[in-house]
Amino acid sequence: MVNLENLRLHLDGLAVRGAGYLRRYALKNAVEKAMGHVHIVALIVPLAFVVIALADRFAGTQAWVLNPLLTVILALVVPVVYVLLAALIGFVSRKVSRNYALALFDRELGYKDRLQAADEFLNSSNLSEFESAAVADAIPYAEKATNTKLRDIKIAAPAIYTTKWGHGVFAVVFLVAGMLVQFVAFNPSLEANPIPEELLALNTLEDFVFEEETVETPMESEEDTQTPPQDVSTDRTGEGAVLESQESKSQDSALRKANPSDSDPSESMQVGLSGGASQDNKAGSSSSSLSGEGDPEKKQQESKEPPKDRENKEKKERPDEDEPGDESAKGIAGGKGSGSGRQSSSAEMTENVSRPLENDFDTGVDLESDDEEDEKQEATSAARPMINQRKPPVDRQLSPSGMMGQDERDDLNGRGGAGARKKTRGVAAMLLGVPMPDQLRSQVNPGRVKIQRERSVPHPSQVANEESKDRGSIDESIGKVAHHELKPWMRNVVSNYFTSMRQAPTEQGE
Amino acid sequence: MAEQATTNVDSRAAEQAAHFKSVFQDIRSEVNKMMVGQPTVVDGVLTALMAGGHVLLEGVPGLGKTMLVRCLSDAVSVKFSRIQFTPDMMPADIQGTMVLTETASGAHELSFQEGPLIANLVLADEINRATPKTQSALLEAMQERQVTVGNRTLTLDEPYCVMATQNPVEQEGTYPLPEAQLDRFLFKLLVDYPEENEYYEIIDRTTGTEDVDISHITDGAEIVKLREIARAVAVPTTAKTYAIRLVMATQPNSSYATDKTTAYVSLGSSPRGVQGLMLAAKVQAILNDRYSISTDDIKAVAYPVLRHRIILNFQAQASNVTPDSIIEDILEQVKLPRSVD
Repeated sequence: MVNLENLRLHLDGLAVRGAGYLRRYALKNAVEKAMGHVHIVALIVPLAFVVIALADRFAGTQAWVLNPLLTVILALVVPVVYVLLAALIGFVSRKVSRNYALALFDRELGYKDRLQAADEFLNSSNLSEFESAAVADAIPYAEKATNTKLRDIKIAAPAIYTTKWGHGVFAVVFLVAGMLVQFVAFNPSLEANPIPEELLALNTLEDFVFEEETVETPMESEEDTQTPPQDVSTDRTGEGAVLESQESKSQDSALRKANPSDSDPSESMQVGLSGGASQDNKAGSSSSSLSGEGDPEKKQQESKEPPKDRENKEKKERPDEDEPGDESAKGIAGGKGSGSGRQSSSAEMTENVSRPLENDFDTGVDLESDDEEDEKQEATSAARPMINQRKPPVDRQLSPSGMMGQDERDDLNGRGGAGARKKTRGVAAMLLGVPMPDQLRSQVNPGRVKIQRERSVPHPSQVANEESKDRGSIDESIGKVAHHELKPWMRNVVSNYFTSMRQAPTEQGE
Repeated sequence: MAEQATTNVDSRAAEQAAHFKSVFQDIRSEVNKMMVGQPTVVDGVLTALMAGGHVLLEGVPGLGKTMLVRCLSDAVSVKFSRIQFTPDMMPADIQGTMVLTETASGAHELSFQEGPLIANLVLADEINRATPKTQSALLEAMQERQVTVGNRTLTLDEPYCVMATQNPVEQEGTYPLPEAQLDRFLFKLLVDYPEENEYYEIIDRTTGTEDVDISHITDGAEIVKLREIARAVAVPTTAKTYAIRLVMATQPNSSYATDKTTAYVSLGSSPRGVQGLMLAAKVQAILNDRYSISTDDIKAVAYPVLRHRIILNFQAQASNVTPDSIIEDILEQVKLPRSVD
């Protein structure tokens, strides 16, 4: 008697068991996959801890200050949570069909698909003889499978790669390193340069900053020297030329206020010249006599120092002499006054047009170079309009741009006559990028090589004479003929050639 | 009631399967009286005979290909004929032709003289030496089980089985079989050299004074019944799906084609390949005491069924890639259909 209901129950039970095994297998796979990455995940928190501690120590960000205890807990919890999440996703996402579950028993127990076939035939009607026989044949196998535990199937315990446990050591090392860095960062006794108490005792930060700035920044000192409005017309040693036009305008307006009836600008300029330049000339003579009377060592030191530092020093040493009424100390500076006064007519106008843009970006270095140029102009007593722009003279080279070859020098100004390229104009060189020099640089033709007769001494031949002998029958075997075996790369070349030959007509046909 | 019916049917199927297996084993043992070794080839020939297919035996001369078929014809009492193919052979030489004969009254008439193709078991020796014209004369006989000569069509008696041999070495002066004819063979079996210990037995059996007597085990009618038994074996969906996937994997650029297939195969298996896999797997299932096919049965017959249906491209020939290596790759790559619900 074949009990088909029993078989169905057995198959149902096997399907449930098989699905459970397969889900555990999926869980195992997910855990194994997660364990493959968990060593990297375990390093994340300690590594971040070290990085944050280092950033806090050296960059002083103080954005994230991690508690060491919290870090240790996070370093332990994050990998565990990662593995648990991966296992959960792998377990839930696995969908096992009934046939798949039965196939597990068929495969593992060597039943040759008997359970799958019986389960399929049981659910169909009008069974053939062999289908019925297949169902009946599966009954003992189903009972046996029900009573068999799949302990031998290695799907329960996930494989853990102990070789990757070394990353845990790295994680501990990182944690310790981070803690050390943090310990050093938060321990005030280990600070290399503690803040002096006198600085901490300062009421405001401005006091401290002011002292430092007065010593260091040259721009500030210049501004300080320029701050008295009455010095603008007389003291022109380190002043910016930018302010010159504004100052002259303010001077003009002041003069106009003083003499409202005098509205002629030429006259006001004459007044400026007489009031400033004549006094400065006198002061120049007096300063030269003063500088000659100084200490020789001090004089050498002063000559080595830059003019601005020297001026600042002089201002510090003689604060009283900077008063507006005292004109005895104006040496060379006084002479400048006359120069700038003359410049106001032509050169000053050009400078006013070109400089305001530069002053927005340039620092004191550009101002110094401009001052040097002003000095040069004053020395030559002539204004050269193009000298400030530092442009080369107009090039007379008429060849198109981009055709400068190696044989053309960059500093050609056309005064040496027409170059090689220029001579070729009108021929093939009219085509852009095709230089056709008419001068060919080559070496002298060396001519034919002379071959001298070499004297050679004849030597007797060392080869023995060949005796004549019977050549043998012409039908005799010639022996083994060497067969040339192609090397692998030669075979590849031949095969590639014929493959391409074969493929060529097919591609054309397509 | 249904259970009782199932039991009766089950017992009848079991008897049929047991009978099939016993006949199969008896024929095998009789053939093995003369044939030494080559168990795969012997089983393959018998499987093709039971499944109703034709066999192409390929091997170097002297390995016993012709002797195997002769032994089989002795064991199975059927009409046997042998055709030694030559380049000058014409279709009429194998199919038969109309000849002028003299009747008893002295009159003359045209009558059909049957050729060697009209038999139950045909040994087509060195089939690749015949011209394509003569080879094509086999096509109708192998597939349709009939021969057409002029306006006369003769139906061949069952069982009908063509067992052809060819020599892979001597290719000069031969005509490779066209794909259409190759596809009609159920199996292509490769006959290899015997093992060292088998040579002793070969010497004793063939150079002594004793003659080997092969007795008749069965006849043509029983072979036809055994074929019906083999066709009755149940086929679960899993096995069908697997066979279909295997055959599709041999076709380049199909959904189951492997990289090797796409690179080296110019023509894959036709649907005859699936039919061959199923029929041969059914015989294998009975021989393995089962009533339904398993995927293991399909794997076991995949090589002889598919190797001659895979036509390699020139790249494969230049790289020494064989059809067997393609099938090996396919068996590794194609997954078993476990979830067919």
